[in-house]
Amino acid sequence: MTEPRWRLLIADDNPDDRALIQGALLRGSAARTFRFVEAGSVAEALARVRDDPDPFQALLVDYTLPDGTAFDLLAGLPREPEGPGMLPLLLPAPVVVVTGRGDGELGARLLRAGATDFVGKDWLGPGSVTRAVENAIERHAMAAELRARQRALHESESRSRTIFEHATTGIAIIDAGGHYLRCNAAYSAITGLSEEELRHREFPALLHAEERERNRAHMQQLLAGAIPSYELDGRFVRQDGSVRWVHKFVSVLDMEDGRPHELISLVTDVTARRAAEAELRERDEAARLVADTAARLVLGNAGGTSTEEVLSSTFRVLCRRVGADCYLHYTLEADGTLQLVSSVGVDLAAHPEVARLHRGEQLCGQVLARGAPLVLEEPELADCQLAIPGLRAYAGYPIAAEDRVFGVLAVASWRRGRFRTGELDLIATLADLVAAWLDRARLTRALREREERLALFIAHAPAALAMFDRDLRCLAASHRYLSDYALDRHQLAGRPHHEVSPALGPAWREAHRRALRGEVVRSEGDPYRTPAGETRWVRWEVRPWVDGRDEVGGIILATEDVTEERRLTEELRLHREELQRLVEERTGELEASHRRLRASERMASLGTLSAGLGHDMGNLLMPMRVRLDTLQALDLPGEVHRELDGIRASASYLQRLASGLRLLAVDPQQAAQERALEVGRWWREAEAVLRNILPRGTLLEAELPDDPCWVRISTPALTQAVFNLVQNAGDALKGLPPGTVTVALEPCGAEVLVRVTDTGPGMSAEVQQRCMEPFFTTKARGISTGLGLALVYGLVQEAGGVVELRSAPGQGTTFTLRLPRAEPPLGRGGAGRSAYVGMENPRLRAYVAAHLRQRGCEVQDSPAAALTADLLVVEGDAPPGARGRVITLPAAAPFGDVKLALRAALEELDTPMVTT
Amino acid sequence: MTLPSSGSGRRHAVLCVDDNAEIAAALELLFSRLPDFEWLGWLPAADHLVAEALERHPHLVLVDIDLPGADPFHAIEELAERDPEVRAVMFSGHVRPELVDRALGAGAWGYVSKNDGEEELLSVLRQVAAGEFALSSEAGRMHV
Repeated sequence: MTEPRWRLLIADDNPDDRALIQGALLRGSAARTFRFVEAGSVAEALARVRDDPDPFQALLVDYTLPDGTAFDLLAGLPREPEGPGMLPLLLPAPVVVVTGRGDGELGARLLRAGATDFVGKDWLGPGSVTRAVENAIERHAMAAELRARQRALHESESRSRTIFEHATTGIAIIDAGGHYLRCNAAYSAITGLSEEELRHREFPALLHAEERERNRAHMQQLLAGAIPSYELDGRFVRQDGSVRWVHKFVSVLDMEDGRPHELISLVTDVTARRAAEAELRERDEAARLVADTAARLVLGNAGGTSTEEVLSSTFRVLCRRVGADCYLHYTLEADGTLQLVSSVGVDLAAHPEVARLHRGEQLCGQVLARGAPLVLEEPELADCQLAIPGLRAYAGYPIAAEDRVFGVLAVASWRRGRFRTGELDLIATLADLVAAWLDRARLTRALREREERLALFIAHAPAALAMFDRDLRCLAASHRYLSDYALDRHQLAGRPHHEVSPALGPAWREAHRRALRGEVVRSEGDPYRTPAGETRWVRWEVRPWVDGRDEVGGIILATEDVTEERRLTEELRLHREELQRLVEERTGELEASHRRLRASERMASLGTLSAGLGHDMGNLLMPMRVRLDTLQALDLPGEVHRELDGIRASASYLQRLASGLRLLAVDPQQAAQERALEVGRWWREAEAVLRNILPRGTLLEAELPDDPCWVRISTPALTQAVFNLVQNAGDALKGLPPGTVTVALEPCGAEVLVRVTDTGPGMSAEVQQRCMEPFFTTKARGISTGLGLALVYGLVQEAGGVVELRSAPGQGTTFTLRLPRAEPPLGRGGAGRSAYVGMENPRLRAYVAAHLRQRGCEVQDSPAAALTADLLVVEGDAPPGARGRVITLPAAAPFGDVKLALRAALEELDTPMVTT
Repeated sequence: MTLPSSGSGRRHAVLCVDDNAEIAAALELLFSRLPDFEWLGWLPAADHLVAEALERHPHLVLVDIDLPGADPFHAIEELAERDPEVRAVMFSGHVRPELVDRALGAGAWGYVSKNDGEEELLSVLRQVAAGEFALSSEAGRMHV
């Protein structure tokens, strides 16, 4: 392990001695490296120590050098300044003197001069030199450390002292018994007592009695070690009786035997600060007063008090707090003069000069002329020619808002020459407040006028209008509005809208909110439930109205009761729908009738032909029959009669054919009066024509009831319906081996079934489904119009019947017409009844009588029979004494009336007779 | 035109109006051989019906409807006014309700369809001659 390298200065003028010393050192400390610097004289050694950049660990100095001794060298070495109580002689490095004279006296002197050690040349061996250097270095290091400690202590003490002496905070050191030990100048200044005088006082005797007890309690706690320090605010009562406010901080300074030994008390004079705080508080209070005034004036919270009252009370308080003598409030009149409206703090009678302040040439007039505040204090006021005698300070502020001057607010003082800081700010603020209030009052007035005009307009509007403020309180409502909603003005006044009309839903409230935000909201129709529970429909619009400040002042609600309008519209709609329905119905009927017309066209053209044919055949057959009769009446050979019989049979057939042809020609509508037909008789008429439309070889068979059977359809209608069915059956059989068509007429309950059956190929389901449709046909165009079955359907339906179809491929087809069965039209309802017909015209009397007889009535003409007859048809009044049912006619009534009377009579016969 | 002279008062003297000469000839043949009818002759149109009837005094006038010239309904109406004793009966191949009504309104005592045959014709004429009102079966179906 290597020792730190030593850098050593060796001062000796003898080179042998230097080598001797170096050799001894090298031998004595083999592990250590050395750096030797040599000097041959005192001067050279001192220069080395001074100039050499690296420090030396030690100096080895020969006592005797050419330019002096070791003493000279020690004296020449730099050393740190001495201080009180500090170790002397601290050299830059330890000095070991090597001397040839080894007497103790010299050695002692050398040590006192600062040398660290000395060795004799005689016993200069390796061990002794090394040991001497080591010891010297060690001692020097200790001395240096001691010295550094002493210096630090010294510096600290002197710093503390300086702080203690020069602190602005009063510092006092007190012992545990409460005796003053020391205090600084600041403490003396605060207490007004010197350090010497304080020594005779007991801590804290200076405190005001009120705070002394509190201080004692704190101190006991401090001394008991319960708290490390305490603070309190208190008053020092000074020798001269004046009081200083202080802030005290007391803490333990030193402990002895574990108990507080010395205390330190730090005291700050807070008298000025407290005064400033008090002033600040006062000013705050004044500011609060102004703010309160502001609230009362500007925010309209003045209640019943007038502006002047509010201002006067404010002025009075300000006078007391802020310290002006008088406050004056002037208003600017229309003629440009200022008028004093309020004064506080001055008796105007006693001080007439104050009244002059406001004149144009005086101070307030100047404020007005400048349009800016005017503040005059001493000494300027004294120079002002306008000054009032004795007036020491004046401040005038224009009361102005937005280019409008309302007046002047002024304060004046005879006692003080200057205003205090902040006072003028308050006055300026107050002037602004008054201006703002007056401006607001002006705007409010304008606003109210405008609102009143608007309200007047609304009240007299011919529509339902209502005006609300922002809180939705009704301001005005038109007469129409009131009547529409069954409200009266007293009910509305000042109450919120939703309170008056609680039924208003959230949608309305939202509309109101949107309008208050500036939107226009409207609806074309909303249900509204009246308090009576009736639902009315209202068209409404909510729009904002703008007040004098261009702000939304509320909303205007315009409503129109559209209940009636809606009702009419709804009615109109229903009417329109009904009309449309009727049009559709009629169109449908028209189409159906058109279809039927188209269908009957075919029949019509066929009918025209057959009608002409039938008519002509009839005209030819009649003479033929008559001539045949004539011939038959003659006495002719038997074979001639047989031939004549053949001719008659043919004529008879032709006659029936002619009848059938004519039936096809008759419009079923025109034949509707024929209310019933007898199927047997009908068959005899129709058979011939039906047979003629079937293909050659096809059989036409009939199944007829044994007894007469009446059906409710006209002869032409039934003929045409069956004609079409038979024609279709015949068509179905065309090209096939001869088949059979059967026409069956069969009574069935309240119906008569007319069945037309063929033995043809039958119909597919699809054809069955569609065959009744107009224009549907399975036949080639040109042969059929496809209207036959549609016509059948129409004819049967008109008669109140239905058409049924049964068919299957290969099974033939059966059409069944289910027709209502009828009573014989010429009923025998009159059988057993007697009738009397009393009419002047023999022909018409015969007409009526014939019909009555046809019904089985016994008709009598004698006037005596009138009394016993069950039924009487008479002209004029009923015969006296008649007991029967009387149908009267005017005398010489036209045929139409007679026919009606006859019908009435026939109906009477159809009514079962009541036997009394 | 010359008309055959009338017979005794007990026979029903018939005057006929028809544009069809064959019909007229057949009617003449028919009535001529019946003992209760007297054929007074026929007119091809109704134009001179009233004048001829007033001159010939028929009991019955058998009038076709589909005639050239004058309206047969007007003719029988006028005739009924001029001579209520003459009883007109319509005789037509056309039978429609409005035709029947019109005939009765004009003063006809009966209506006979040419399709109903000679028996019905004679029956209606006999009834009318007896002072009764009558319709042939086809006409009856179209009335009331």
